[in-house]
Amino acid sequence: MIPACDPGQSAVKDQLQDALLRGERSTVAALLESGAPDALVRAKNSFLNDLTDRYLAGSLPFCQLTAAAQAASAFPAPDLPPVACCGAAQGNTSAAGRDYTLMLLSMWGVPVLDLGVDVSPEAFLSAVLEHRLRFVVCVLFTPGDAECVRRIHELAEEHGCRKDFSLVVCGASPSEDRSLLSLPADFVTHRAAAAAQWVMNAWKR
Amino acid sequence: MEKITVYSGDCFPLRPDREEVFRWLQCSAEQPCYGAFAAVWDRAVALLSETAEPRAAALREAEDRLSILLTLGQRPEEAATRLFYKQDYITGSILNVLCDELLFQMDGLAFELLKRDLARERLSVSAREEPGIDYPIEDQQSCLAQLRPVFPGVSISEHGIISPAKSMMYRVMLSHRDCGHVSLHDCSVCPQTDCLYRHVK
Repeated sequence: MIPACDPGQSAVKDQLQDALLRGERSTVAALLESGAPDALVRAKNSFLNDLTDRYLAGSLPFCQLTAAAQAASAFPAPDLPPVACCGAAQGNTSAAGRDYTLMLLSMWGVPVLDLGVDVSPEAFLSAVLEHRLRFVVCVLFTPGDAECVRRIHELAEEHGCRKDFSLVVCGASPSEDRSLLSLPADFVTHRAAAAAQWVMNAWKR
Repeated sequence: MEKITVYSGDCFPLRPDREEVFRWLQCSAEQPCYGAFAAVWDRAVALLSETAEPRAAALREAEDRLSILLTLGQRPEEAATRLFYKQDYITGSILNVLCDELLFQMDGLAFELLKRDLARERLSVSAREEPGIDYPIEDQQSCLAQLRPVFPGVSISEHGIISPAKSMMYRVMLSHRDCGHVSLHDCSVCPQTDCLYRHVK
């Protein structure tokens, strides 16, 4: 955690953490109006990192991340062009996985383009080329959807732009199909929270 | 039973169970976010009532098997996605789980209706086959094609993803003996004491 410079700043950060845990967007909005937005963004992301680590370690339920994401939505979206796109892979018509992944990316303040569901590899690549994206987040439902990931990689190689972006896969559990671990992706996980945290850390690096 | 039997929404009254849904969400009273979830529960239930169109169908594939389709329609998932777009994540996540809970309730109710209808032919359910385990995708697709006149908007992808998402499908095998390894069959009240599956369950 970032150490506080003065008791007042420490109190604001404590209030922010409490509001994120309780899912209180209005409280967060009030804190933002009180000033020091940059410090609050840093404090928010530091705390979200801690929450995500605890969730991935199994000591925090997902509902707490949901609540934190809702409260964090009080932070204004960054005035930046998208750096990532997110969509459910071709064949995956279920919106839930995509919805949660977008929620977690937005929680971190990552400017992300929503591509929807059942997204073809061509549509993913088209978004990368048009917007010069640095991250593609592909949401799977079953291991069978992984063909879309391989195709995105192949198309990007053919266009000579594969090195320009990171390909992140989340959704279907690698334990269901070990072949997922050999996907030509930069990060593979079955948990959207891990994918969003990875994108955030890579973006900030 | 007819070739296709449709069970309308009247057969599936909504019975949202807040404690069960919160248990699925792991949102206990000890969690700091419990208050935020409890505050929007009624709204989520209202949205479910407004958008869910619970219906079921049984397709008599053959003398000894039936395929069952249960669906809430497309609108609940669309409503949940709209909530996520508005960053009302808590209500959206409750609605998602409410839909799943309703589907499970429908499963139990549909099974009772099925048993009632089968009893008229002195038939019982002897086994249940599940997608992804022993109910092939090709068979599901074939059944959905036959159900299209009454359920036009339901499909299964080549990877087994059903659409609308808040739907489920399974197959039951029929028998003139009420027995087998069906999870809903209670061996303790079954007269077939020499049944192979009695000790397996």
